[in-house]
Amino acid sequence: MHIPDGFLEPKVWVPLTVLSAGAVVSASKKIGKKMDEKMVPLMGVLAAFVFAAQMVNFPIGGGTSGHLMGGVLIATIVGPYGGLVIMATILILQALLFQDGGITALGANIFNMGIVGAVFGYIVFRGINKFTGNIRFSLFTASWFSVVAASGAAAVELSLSKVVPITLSAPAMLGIHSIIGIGEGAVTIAALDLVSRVGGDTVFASEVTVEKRITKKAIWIWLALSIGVAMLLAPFASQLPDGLEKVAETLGFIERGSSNFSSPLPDYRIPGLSGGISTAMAGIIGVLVTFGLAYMIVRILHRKR
Amino acid sequence: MLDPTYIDSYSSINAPYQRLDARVKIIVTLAFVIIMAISVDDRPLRVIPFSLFIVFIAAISRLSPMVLLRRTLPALPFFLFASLVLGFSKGSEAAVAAFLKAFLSVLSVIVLVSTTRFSNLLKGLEGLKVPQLLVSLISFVYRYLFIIADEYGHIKIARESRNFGGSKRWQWKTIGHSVGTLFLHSYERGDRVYSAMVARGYEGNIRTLGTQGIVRADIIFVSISIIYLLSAGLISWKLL
Repeated sequence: MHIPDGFLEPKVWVPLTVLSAGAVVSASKKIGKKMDEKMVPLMGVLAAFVFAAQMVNFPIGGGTSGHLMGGVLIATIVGPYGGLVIMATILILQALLFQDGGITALGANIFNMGIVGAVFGYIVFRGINKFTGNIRFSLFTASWFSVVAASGAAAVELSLSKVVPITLSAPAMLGIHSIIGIGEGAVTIAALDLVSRVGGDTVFASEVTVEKRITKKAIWIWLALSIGVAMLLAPFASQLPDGLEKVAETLGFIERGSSNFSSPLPDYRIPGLSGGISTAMAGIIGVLVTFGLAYMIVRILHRKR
Repeated sequence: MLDPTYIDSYSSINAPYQRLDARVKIIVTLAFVIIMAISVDDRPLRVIPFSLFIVFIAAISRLSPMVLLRRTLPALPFFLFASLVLGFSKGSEAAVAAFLKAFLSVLSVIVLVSTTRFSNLLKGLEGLKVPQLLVSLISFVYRYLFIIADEYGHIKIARESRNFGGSKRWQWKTIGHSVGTLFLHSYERGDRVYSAMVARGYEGNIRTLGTQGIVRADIIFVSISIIYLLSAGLISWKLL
């Protein structure tokens, strides 16, 4: 998933570099204030641990194997800020010493695996854990999601640089990584399982089990985040025919089908509005509806318990 | 790969490039990679002035071309594959340009890293206002990566010798537990390392022997390099 130099266009890597540099600097400051000097060697050794853990291969079937990314794993141990700084450390070293990922693409790689993979993965873990209360399930889902989302981000960046059209890169990247993600999830659960059982006295592992109540503010942040993502990604989604549409198109019954069934937001577009705005609006409405449904379901389930 | 001295093994050669301040080398390498990435675009011919620059740097650091090329080998298959994909979407010119850009960028990074003592490189990053925490973390990972990777090797041997195999579910559980064990060992090691460091006077920053300083040669080198790179970018933009 490491993008090398020379493939991303400046309009893609420049903003991502600025974004990632800002995020890493502010995360370092945030941790720097909170922690005592004892934490530095510890975090350093843990970063080396993730680096080594990334060399761990697991079978994904069909004779191939994937390797661990470790974003959610480290973020649940040292928190999202620490997770981001550790992922950035690893990516810088991989670019400098192992020619794994480029210098101009460093910002993009930190965005994909640090911000999306560790921070966003951690937020997903927290969110699902709040709603379901099942740590293993949340860890698995968040790990899976972090790998898939990171690969999706890489696919979008490559297609924005016109390396591969999104219709080609997205299915390929998401497909393979949704399988690798299963391994990531399984390994993450098993690793943290062992850590919390054997190393009961370690400070970090216990933090995973600490339950904090979800606040109203957190819900709003979540909502804002999802809307942002939807606005960014919706224009891409609409260009991708989904599996059924594809089949329908090739078999030649799409015209007939569309006349019989009319969806309120056909092709993720609002009728009457044009182009990008319409797609983005449709994305926002989709998120709001999904969010509303999820909220209602959780309220109902909560009352029963 | 798992040998820390391998990486900066050419830093002790007494050559002009090695004597430059680490900050200067980092700035010039960054300028090289960034200006090339922006100005080459999809035209392979524009790479020429940049490859001349790399040849010049390699010459003043007395690195043998064979050594340099051998170190780029691990990255090449991936570059080839990615350029091939690019060739189908953007045409063969763009694919060649991307491959050359990727290759030259990697070369420049290899020259930087193999001619600079790693501790000086870190000091240089610190001097360029990279957050202290990040620099400390990089130094720790650099030191302990090899040990921890070794440790995982031991765990793997132990696992294999106990008949590792069976169903997928069981395999994942075992691999996960190996990762967990590795974490616990790393965590305990971190504790011991900290005590050992405090006992040796650690206060939270990096110290290197042999203070580096910017001298006239550094200023001349950095200005000539950047003027060359900028004009190379501009001229090739106009002509090629």
